[in-house]
Amino acid sequence: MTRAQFEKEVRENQEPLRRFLLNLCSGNSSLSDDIAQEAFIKAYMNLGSFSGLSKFSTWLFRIAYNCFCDHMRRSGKAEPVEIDNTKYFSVDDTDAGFRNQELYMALSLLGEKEKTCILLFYMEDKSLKEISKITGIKENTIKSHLSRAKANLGEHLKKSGYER
Amino acid sequence: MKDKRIEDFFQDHKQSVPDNGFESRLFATLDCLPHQLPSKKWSFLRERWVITLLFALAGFALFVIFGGYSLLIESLVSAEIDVSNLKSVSPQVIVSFAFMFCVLFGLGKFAFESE
Repeated sequence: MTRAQFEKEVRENQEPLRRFLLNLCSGNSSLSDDIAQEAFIKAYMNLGSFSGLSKFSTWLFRIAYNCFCDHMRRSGKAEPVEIDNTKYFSVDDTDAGFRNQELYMALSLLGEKEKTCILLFYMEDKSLKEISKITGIKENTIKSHLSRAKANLGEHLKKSGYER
Repeated sequence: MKDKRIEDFFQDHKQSVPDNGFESRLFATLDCLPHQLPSKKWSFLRERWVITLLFALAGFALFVIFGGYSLLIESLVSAEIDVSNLKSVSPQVIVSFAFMFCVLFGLGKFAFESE
């Protein structure tokens, strides 16, 4: 893969990858961007090990997820959530800010693995096979994480009266 | 498999994350890295076909050195005699077939999963 091809992949994948990390980091945008940057640099340095057996985006998500897990291990526990809506939305855009709060509130009800699986499945439209490659979790286990997450979220959405 | 309400919720709350200089910062960092884009390193162990070929050659050499061809013919002839003498399906035959099937299935599954 040439530098130009890598740059093209970065342009195509940076938004979904950063959104995934942003949601994993519960809205901490500076932390999620740092992890995304680290992931892209690692990917660039290890391009030789990309076998092409999976999609490039899957490989990239796997690296990013590993970087996130490493960060969580290093920090020992989840850092206090510091939601920075102003970075992505204007202060006036209260609706977007409110929607973000609603999302992070719902995600906070889930365990780490459940959150990862549900974000990849519903928000990033990844298949079970891709989620398995990204997280290293078996497909059947992913199914049970998803089902637990669905039960928790379903109840929460019902209570909060969410309707489209 | 997707739950409609949850799918709607996530689609409604899907943020668009603007670039905000992320790409330019990243590319500038990549330019400063000590290494240029690494070419695909040739690793002996990673090249599975080399290992397969080496073991195939070694196996063939051992086969020739120890007179494998004549042994193979003898075995086939004796197997043919055994099969022709077989009057009924004995439990040993069933067990050996089942065992062979399990081994082949296990190997296939292992090969598929490792791929």
